[in-house]
Amino acid sequence: MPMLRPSVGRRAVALLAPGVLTLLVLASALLDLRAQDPTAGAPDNPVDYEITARLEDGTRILHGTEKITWTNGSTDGVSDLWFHTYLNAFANSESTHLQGSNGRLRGVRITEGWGWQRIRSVTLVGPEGQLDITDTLQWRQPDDDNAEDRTVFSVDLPRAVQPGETIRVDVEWESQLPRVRRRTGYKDDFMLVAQWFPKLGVYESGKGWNCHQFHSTTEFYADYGTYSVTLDLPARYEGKVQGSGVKVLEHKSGTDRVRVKFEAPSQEDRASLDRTGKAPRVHDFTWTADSKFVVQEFTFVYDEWREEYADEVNFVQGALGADKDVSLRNVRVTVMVQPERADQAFRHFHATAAALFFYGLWFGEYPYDHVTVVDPAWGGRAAGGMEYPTIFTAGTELGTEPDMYVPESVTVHEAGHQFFYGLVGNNEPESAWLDEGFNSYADSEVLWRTYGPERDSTKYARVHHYGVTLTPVTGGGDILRALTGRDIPYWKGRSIAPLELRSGFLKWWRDMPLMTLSPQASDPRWADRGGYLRDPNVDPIDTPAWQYRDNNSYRTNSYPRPAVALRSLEGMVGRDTFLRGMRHYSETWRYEHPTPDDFFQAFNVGADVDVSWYFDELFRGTGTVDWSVAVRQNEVNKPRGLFQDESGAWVEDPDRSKAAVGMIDSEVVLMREGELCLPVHVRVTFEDGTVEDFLWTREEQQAARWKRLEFQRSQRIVAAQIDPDRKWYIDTDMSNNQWFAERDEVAPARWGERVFSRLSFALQFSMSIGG
Amino acid sequence: MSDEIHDEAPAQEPIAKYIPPGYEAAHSDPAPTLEPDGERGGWASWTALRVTLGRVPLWFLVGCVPLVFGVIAAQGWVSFFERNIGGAYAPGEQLGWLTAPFRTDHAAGLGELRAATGIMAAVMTVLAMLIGVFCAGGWLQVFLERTSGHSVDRFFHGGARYFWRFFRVLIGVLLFLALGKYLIYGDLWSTYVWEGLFEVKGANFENLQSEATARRLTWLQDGTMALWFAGVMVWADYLRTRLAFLGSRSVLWQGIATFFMLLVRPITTLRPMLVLLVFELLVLVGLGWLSAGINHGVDAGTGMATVWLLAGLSVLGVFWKAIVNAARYHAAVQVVRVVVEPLGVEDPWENTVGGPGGPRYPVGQEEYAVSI
Repeated sequence: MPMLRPSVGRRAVALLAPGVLTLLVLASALLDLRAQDPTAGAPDNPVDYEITARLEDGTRILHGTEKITWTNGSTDGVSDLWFHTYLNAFANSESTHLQGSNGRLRGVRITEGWGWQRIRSVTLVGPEGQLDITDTLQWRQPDDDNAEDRTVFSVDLPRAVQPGETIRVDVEWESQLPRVRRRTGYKDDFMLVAQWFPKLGVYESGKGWNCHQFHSTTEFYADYGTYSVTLDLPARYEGKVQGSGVKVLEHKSGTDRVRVKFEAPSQEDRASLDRTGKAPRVHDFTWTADSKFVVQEFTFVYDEWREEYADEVNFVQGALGADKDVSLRNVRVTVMVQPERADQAFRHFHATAAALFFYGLWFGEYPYDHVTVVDPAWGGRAAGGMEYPTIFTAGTELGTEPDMYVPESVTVHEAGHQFFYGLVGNNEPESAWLDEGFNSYADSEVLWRTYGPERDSTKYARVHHYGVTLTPVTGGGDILRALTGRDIPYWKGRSIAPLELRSGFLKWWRDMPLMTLSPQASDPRWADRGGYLRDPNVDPIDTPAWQYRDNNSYRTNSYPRPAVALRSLEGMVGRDTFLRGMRHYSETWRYEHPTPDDFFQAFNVGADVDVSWYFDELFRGTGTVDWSVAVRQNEVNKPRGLFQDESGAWVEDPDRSKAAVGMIDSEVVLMREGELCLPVHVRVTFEDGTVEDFLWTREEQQAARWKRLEFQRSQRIVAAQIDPDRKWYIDTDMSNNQWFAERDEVAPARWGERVFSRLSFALQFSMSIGG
Repeated sequence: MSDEIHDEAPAQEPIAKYIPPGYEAAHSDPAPTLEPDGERGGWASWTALRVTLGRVPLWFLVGCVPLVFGVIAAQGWVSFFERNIGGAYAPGEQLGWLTAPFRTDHAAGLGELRAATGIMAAVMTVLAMLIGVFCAGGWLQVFLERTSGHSVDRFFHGGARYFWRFFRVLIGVLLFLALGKYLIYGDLWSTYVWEGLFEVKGANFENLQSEATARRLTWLQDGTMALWFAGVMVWADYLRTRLAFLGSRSVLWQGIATFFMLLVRPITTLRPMLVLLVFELLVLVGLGWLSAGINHGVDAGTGMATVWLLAGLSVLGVFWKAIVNAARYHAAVQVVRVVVEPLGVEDPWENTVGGPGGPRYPVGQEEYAVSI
């Protein structure tokens, strides 16, 4: 857990010097004493940024000033301010971020293109004048005491800011943009400038500043407010720059500069209330520019999507109640795409619109009038797949189709973050799963409904072919590698590999993919389960991001495992109940900072259920479950042998049990492995089509690990299925959940044929090498 | 590779001593006789295909080799799916594609199966290459002799006869492929082509300006390797043909001669091979288009007939590749007959007078005189 500073008692020691009294008097005057009553639903600590920055061409250094107006929304007096300087994570190999990633970012060892931030001054500003508090700056390492980490600093205030009190602080700084390796930076002319200004942490009542260092596995956490940002950029970016919110001004400044101004949210959005009765706010500002961008504008029109997905609209309306307005606002969508992929602009828009529609329908309307989708430049893909308020990056490549999910998958996911992260601002470092997991659950639902199954492909010379290779064409150890020409050693560890094909064309010629690839597609909801099973029981889901066992555990527990747990919850309580719970949570905590307990409580209230036990076991435990079924059937035969009659004599009694002769004795045995006890349905189907459904209750499972269902009927059982509707995605092995009397004879031949074809062609190729 | 090996004693000493190193005495085999109506150019390819297609037992035999191996390797997969799909999934559920739950739940089993298949396939690959060496000799024996029956016998005879020579050719092929890989995917290419010619910083495609450029450069590199590969294959085909045609045992000598033959007569030598490649490609793409259409249309209602149809198309494809591969030798034989002298041996009679059966006297040598 982070070492959070106590909120009370911290004093500006630096000011305890001669003349301190004078300073304190001045400081009192500087502090704006406008009292602001925190009202229910208002942001925790309203904060407004007014930023002006100039980018030096060539050096990629930003010179900026920011005016921060911060209101203490806590119940504590606050005597210091803590800031994030995220770019310092990229300053050297010893930062906590790079230490955590072993010096590599997205697979690349970082040796150049470093980024940093330097604080030039911090000034407290008020009607009476200014007070420079730069001297009180201290670098902080609340999580790991890594003295080389410079991603958090604090400054002391001359006196505590009282609850409801508002102050203004001006910060002057410089940022060296890094070569983009993760989330932020530049590549050639392309820039994604995120986490680029000193940003306040979040002050939490009774806990102090929540201002974590920038770890390799953590993201961001900030208060809601407004941003007014003016950028001074080289002129070639004119018309090719976009940021959070809306662009309100863009004009040439001289011959070689352009000035651009953004407001986030727009003035119209700030002045209005959304469907939840709250004024839209954002908690970050990011911008992007690339002189090569192709900029295309689209509009998400709710009515068009309502017509196409009328059943879904009706279902949600029914689940939430007739009095709930489920209509959505239209939203302008700006797509900034690379020229070579301009033909994919509409696909970026369509995926964004799908997210705006389904997420909006399920979790509440997207309240802003604009959103921007960014396609990072070639070589800048490390900037891809990142979400920021009203702007996000996708990521794609040439030659894809929508059912390959590229860029659809990442676009829906990042657009979905506008809801979980953007509107519901959970603490990402401490509870990443609250946005990543929820978003993983929801994006799969959207992708499935919009695009159907995801089709897998295999690339030959960077060209996609539908299908996958079911089996390798060679394998084995060193000897076989040498004999097959894949690695022939000849001198002191050196080797040649004439038949280790690297040419995509030659691989194509060997594989004959049109004739040998195996079709493969995935329901994205089940793909989540595949991710969950990579690490199903190492850590509880509810763990701070930097405290998971390793990166695999972080990924599993932040993305697919909570998605699977939520989808299983949906299966248990029913989709309509689940929707009510999720809707209530996302509306209640809009523009605020919910904790896991807040979610659990809000869900129970909204869904009108009490599934606290489920949350405890699934989100705070590491238990798993694996159900299985076995079936035994025997025909009741005519009794043979001697039977004792009433007189005690042993006689042949052909009439005994006569009624059952010819009947079928059937037995279905249900079994459970693992710690979780979850209520599950069982379906037994008989020859005549009769279906019997059972519920194996949680209580029964707590009492015993197995249950026997017995039948004596004239009909045989043709199928016995645990969880026949496949609602329990959490089951660690579903291959033993079903029993069918009829065996599938075609499928083994079907896949055997694919292996036969693939190897036949590969071996023919090998023969042709021989002669 | 030896330039000096003569494992068959020459019966006619006066001739044999004039034979350059690496050649067999002409008597040890019947003088190579071409198929009638040998042609060059595009028609040579057509003739080669026609003649090869007529050798049904041979291409059937050769084509069956990878197919039989494929059937053997596929058995493990059929058994695996019978065990694991059997009655555990609704009939047809796993037909269109293996579902995500199936792949997840059987990930370990599938992984083991893949590893085992990889080992088996590697062993089969070695065998396939050796059988390929054998078949090349068989085809050349058949194509170089008169077409007078017993072709299967002659095929096996040729396979055995040329095996070790062609095995040395295989080693040469591997060395040249390794050289190509070194040149095209090694540091030289990175330094002089990527960094020098195309100015790719650090030879890292990530530093390019666009994905399209990266793709084009990948195609250039992969295409160059594919051309190199094709060149080596053509060179090897002609080399084997020359070795058989001339009865030579010197792979090195003939390899060099073949290289210069290709260099000097590129149109004559490469055109039939290119035409055959186009034939091969057209048929395979056609079959592939058909196969892919059927394959991707498989769903829960698909029956066994479709599976057999897919297998049948693959069998056709493999047979077609075997046929075209053999046709290359026929085409090469036709070309070599024209561009290579049957025996590059000096005329032992050129400087003598006298006739067969009688005394022979050198011409122009003073010390000899005729007494009357």
